[in-house]
Amino acid sequence: MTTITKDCFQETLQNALERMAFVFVETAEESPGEVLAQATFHATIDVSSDERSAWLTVSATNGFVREVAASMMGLETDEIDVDEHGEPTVCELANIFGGELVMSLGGDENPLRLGLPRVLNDAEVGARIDQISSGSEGWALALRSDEGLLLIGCHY
Amino acid sequence: MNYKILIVDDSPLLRATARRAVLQAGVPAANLREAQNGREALDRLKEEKADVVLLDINMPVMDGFQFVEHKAQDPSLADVKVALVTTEGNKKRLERMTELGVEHYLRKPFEPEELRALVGELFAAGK
Repeated sequence: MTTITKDCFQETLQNALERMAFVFVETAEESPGEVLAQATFHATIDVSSDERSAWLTVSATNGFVREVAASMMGLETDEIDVDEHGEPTVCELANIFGGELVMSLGGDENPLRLGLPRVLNDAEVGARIDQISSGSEGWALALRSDEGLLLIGCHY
Repeated sequence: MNYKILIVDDSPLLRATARRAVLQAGVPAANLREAQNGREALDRLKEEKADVVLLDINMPVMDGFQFVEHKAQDPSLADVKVALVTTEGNKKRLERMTELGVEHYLRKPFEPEELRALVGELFAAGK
């Protein structure tokens, strides 16, 4: 079974954010729990086939949402209303990162199908991050950009 | 430029990104239409035909694959070009789209310039 290391997938995520939104991220000094406590928007996406399944969560602070949404829409960060754009932004990030997860798990021959991204509340995302922390098949990755924080949880 | 484009994506963020690229490529805003899924896209095309559909795959209600299957069965939509703009990377599923007449494909994540180039390519092919 293909496994994905945190370091390897971090590089994939960095490339995706740079390509789509010119947003540059690096490992955050904060722990996953600390990032989660500051994050205001959460989304998840499932990938599955007949033989296996995986999921990914995306949690972002207001600053990170503003930075990504502004860049993709060609606006200034102070023009972004996070109440309007927060959920669509984390859902689209989950969609894009989920697509990268599918490719990482088996490339273009992979029968895995991507589900639809959906919003999670604080309790739901907290339970998923706890599930990762208590097991061995997954990891949480805390990242920092110029404007905010991003937490990716992956379970496979 | 009297070129009509329909952007089909459930993500308002991606629709805004695509809209920006299309406007920068010289298409007037009045020639742009949007839909949130394949079902809405078919309805929009019944109201007013487009020259090009920029199509996501992973959408609720009717996904991009189902849209292309429906479109292929409707002779009145035969001259509508479809460009996939999607996270989908599975070779077999994409080959099926090619069999049904889809000639253009841009995989997310893409750079904004790649989307502008795709739109430019579609214009050139339509001239």
